[in-house]
Amino acid sequence: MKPARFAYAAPDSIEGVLDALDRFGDEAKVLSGGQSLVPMMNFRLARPEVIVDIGRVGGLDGMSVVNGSLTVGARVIHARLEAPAAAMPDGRTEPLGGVLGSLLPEVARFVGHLPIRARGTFGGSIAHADPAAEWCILARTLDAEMVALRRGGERVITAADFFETVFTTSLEPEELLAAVRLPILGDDWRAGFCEFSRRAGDFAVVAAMTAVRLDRATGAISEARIGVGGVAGVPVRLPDAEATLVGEVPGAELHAAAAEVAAGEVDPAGDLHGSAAYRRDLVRAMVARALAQGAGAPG
Amino acid sequence: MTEISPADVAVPVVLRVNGTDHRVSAEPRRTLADTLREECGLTGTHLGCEHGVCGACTVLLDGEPVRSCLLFAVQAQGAEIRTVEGLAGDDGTLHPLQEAFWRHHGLQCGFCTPGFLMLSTGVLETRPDIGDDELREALSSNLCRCTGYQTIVEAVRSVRDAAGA
Amino acid sequence: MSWVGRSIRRVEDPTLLRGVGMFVGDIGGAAAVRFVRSPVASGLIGAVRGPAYTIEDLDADGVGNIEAVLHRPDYVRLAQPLLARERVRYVGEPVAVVVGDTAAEAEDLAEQVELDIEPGPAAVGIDGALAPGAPLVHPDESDSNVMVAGEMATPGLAEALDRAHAVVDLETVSGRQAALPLEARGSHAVTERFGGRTTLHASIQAPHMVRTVICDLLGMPEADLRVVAPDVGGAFGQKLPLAREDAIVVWLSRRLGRPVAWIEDRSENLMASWHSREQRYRLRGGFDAGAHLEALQADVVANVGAWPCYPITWGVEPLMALAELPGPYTPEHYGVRSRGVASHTCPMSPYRGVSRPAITLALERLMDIAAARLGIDPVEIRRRNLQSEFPHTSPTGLRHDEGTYREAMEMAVRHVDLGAFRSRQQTARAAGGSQPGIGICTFSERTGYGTPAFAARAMGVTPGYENVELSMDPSGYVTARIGASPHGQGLETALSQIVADEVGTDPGRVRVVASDTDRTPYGWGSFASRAMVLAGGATYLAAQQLATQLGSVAAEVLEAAADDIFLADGRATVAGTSVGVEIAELARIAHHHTQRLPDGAAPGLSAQAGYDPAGTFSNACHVAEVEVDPDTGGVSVRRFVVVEDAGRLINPMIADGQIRGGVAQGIANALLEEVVYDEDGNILTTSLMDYLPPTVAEIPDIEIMHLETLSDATVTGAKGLGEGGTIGAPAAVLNAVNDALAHLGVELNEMPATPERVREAVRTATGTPAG
Repeated sequence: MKPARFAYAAPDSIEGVLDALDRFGDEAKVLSGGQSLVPMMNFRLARPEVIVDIGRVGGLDGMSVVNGSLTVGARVIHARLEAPAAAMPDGRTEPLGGVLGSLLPEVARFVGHLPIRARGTFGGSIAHADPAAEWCILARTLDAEMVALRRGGERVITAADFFETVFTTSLEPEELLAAVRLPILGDDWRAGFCEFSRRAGDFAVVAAMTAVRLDRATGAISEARIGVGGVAGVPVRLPDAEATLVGEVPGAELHAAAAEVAAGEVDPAGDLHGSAAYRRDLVRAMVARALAQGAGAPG
Repeated sequence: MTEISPADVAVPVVLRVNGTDHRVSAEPRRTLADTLREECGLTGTHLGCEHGVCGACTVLLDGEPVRSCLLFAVQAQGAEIRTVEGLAGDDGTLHPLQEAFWRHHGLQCGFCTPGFLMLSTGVLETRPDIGDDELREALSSNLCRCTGYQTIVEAVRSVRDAAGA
Repeated sequence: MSWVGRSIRRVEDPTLLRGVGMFVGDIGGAAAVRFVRSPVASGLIGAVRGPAYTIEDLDADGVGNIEAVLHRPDYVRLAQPLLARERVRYVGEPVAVVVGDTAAEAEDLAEQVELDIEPGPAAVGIDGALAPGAPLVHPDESDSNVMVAGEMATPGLAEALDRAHAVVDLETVSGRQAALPLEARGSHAVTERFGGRTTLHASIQAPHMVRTVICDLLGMPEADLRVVAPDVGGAFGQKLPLAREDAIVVWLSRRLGRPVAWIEDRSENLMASWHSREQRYRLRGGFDAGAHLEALQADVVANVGAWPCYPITWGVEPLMALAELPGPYTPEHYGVRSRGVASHTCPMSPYRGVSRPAITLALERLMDIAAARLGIDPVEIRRRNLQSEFPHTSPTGLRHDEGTYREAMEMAVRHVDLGAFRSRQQTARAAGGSQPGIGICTFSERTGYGTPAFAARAMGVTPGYENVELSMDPSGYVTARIGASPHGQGLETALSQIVADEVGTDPGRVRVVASDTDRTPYGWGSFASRAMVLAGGATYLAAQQLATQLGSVAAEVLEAAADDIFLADGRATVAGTSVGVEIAELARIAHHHTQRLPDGAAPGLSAQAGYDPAGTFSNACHVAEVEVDPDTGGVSVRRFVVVEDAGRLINPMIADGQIRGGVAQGIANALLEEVVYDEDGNILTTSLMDYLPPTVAEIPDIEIMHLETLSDATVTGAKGLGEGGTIGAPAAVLNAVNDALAHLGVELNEMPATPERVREAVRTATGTPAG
């Protein structure tokens, strides 16, 4: 379990990284925290010719609030999202409050274990694109925007377009995922996250995130998002289940109804950690609980 | 132009381990764990899985517990690395955690022990007043096959409590 | 003051705590050996092409085959080559070997080896291997996959079942588990340039046995091979049998004339080291109107994989089930058929507990189901069935020495406060959501058996006895050289306590030398919960001899009668007086002033003793409290109580450590760990993300209480306890899961009780359609 040989570059600037990616194209792989990539290299399931280590690049590890979005630099480690603080529009760094400020720590604690969170990065997890990874589910549920840089250019990719299949994204070989923009959810949003894993710190068998917006006047749901991981090659949104919620007032019966629709809406494949039928059962349970958590009611 | 280290050539690497500089050479693919063990002669850092699950290879990198099997030596240049060999005092006095693991029977075969010691050292140094539940959660990072964990938890808790007393 | 019975700190620990222990991977200075392993479960080997130093044919060098033998008419004998020849029989079977300068380079070379293998059909799983027309694992030697079969029945069994008040039928399944020592296997061999003597360091449990078999295979005198087990990072049975890789490492070092080392990686360990546990039981229990189990009939099948293990063979799982199935209960009538069936999967070896976790699961599920059927409490049915008169002779002729089966259960049940639990459970059932459950398991653990028990197994070699050599040096320190081979159990500390009491010294003045064939007497090693009884017994006997020698020197020096000399606290004292002499001074005299020794006394202070008892039975009761989430099938263990009776405890702290570690492995067996193959025989669990040992989050604190019924079958009164945790915990947890969901009508008799299986059982019981 030793990795195959690779050439190694550790540029100290974004330009250097982009140059290296431009030069080596699909022979190269970006190394960020390495907590997903290196295990695959040790198993020789990944064998890049060239590793481009972004660990010495400044400017990729910031968090800031701009135009109603939280921008998370690619190299922000998971541990920082357990107590997120960001540069505000006025330039001061403050703990992130609000719905997103509570949601991120809630999700972060499910990411691996402490040493993994001390080293692994938000951007690395997104670019690795494991369909059961917490940050990928969050990005998909909240319609995050991925900021990709290439030599001489930048493009923004929506989460829906970013995740293509297992471990595969729409990033081009010469592109670097530099940051992810998450919408700051207003106070009228309620979010929940629930996952089932076999052991503490394991990847989820199934995880669900829900976010609903409440009409202040009626208390009914005006907008709903349900994202689920562990049921397809990418984290998925469940529009039918979302539609069940819209216009209704949150409550145990409504949550159960939406969860039932969600269970029918997914089409998982079975594997070692759960058959298709079992994963549907988990979707039902996780969606109901995430909704209940978001509503502040016991699951 | 960014410098590229070729794949099949060992490059010079300086690793600062337990306060001492080790000048070694390592192919880019060489992990920090293998380099510590084979180039620095520090075999207390053990390899139990080489894919980041068991934690036997845990060392401190700039004070944070990390899996040294998931880091390449070339990445660790410039960092302060601490391993189990650096825990005891210069005069050989055991570190309080080493004493506590001994007193509480927190080890049997001893293979996971260096990893657990470094994990708990990192945790207690950064969060000396960590709560019981959080401590358990932190210790769930590593695997032990012999003890059933209870005595490891008790050992670490006792050091936390003694420091806070 | 007695040292035995005290929880002194372990002498083993400081080295390990400082990170300066020496495990086999720490030795270094050797070329790296890498095995090229079969990617398919079954097939015919064509050409093997590879770079220089690819070795796939050991025959030319006269290397022999492994022959693990049972002298039984129903046993299929095989000769196993060290590298697969003609056929591959499981994924991971070694086919060729390469040597590189580093482990990474050896892996590069191994990737370049091309194996032409014509894949064939594979027999996978118990049903797959037993099916008519199943692919045969050893077609040249046997026309079926049944490799060993035992059968017995007491007279009148059928009639007893016919007249039973209630008959309970039950099928239980125990999944395949891996012992998973945190240090995988490994070996390191150096051959001296002059003289040609080889030293093998290997992560193993039985160095003397390994030396014998490797020398037999390579045709070399045992005197030319030194085998050392350095620090061993857990073993649990997986390092007991000969590793074919270790024999090849010795052969390579001799042939290449350079040091070589094989350090198994985790993926190899999960794929190609030994597996264990896969068994299926079909039980029929006949109970009388008083709920007493009168008649027990069983059909047992163990999937033993592709090859037997040496020297234990693949008879150990099925034949142990045959012999020990009645467990702590007292059926008058017993009948059993037990078979070991080969399959195209990794071979099996004994793993901590061996058959007994599966035996106990079957019996304890039987008791709970019968209790429910007969309308009595699980505690009450055990009360009526557990052994209470001793010695008890089982229907298979095993003698159970005195135990505390009922007392242990009553103590455990009082401790958990069953009544309070039941009322909490009623509340939870009314509320819905997660459901608490409680499970009881009572069992016996056959331990500390020597040659007589092994001889009954009719193995090609008969393990058993242990030898110990004790000497006191002129400084008054004692060195104990033992044939056992501890690897984390704390045996060195415990033996030093025994020696200290007998010769009146401090454990700090005792050194234990183990695990080195050059420095220790021949012995069988550490396995089967035996070391404390066997090595402890031999140490006790040798220490008594040493004490007698010291007494006679003291008598001479103090001019007193030897019978009046009393050894304690480092002094020999004349009873009833303060007249005495330091033991260290006696040691000087015995070596340096032998003119002062009594007439006829040999110079020096040394003793040797062997010990070879018939065996003894420990007993215990485990109680597990779980919480089950019926929606996800998730189970968490909330509380775990153990009442253990292992006779005299030498070091209670160490005993508790053994229990806790065993229970953790047992909980893992019950809920988490399972080796999984697909229908073509591809193994799916080759990482620790797929094979799931527990973390601290899955293991509760374990509350332990002791009873100490001294064994009349051992010289120290101690019984073994190393395996008990793994034996009782699975059934306790499964019973608790079933108890939690009993109101839904759930019955789940397969382990591990994965969330998916639990959820499936809930769906089946409640008639909820899938999905």
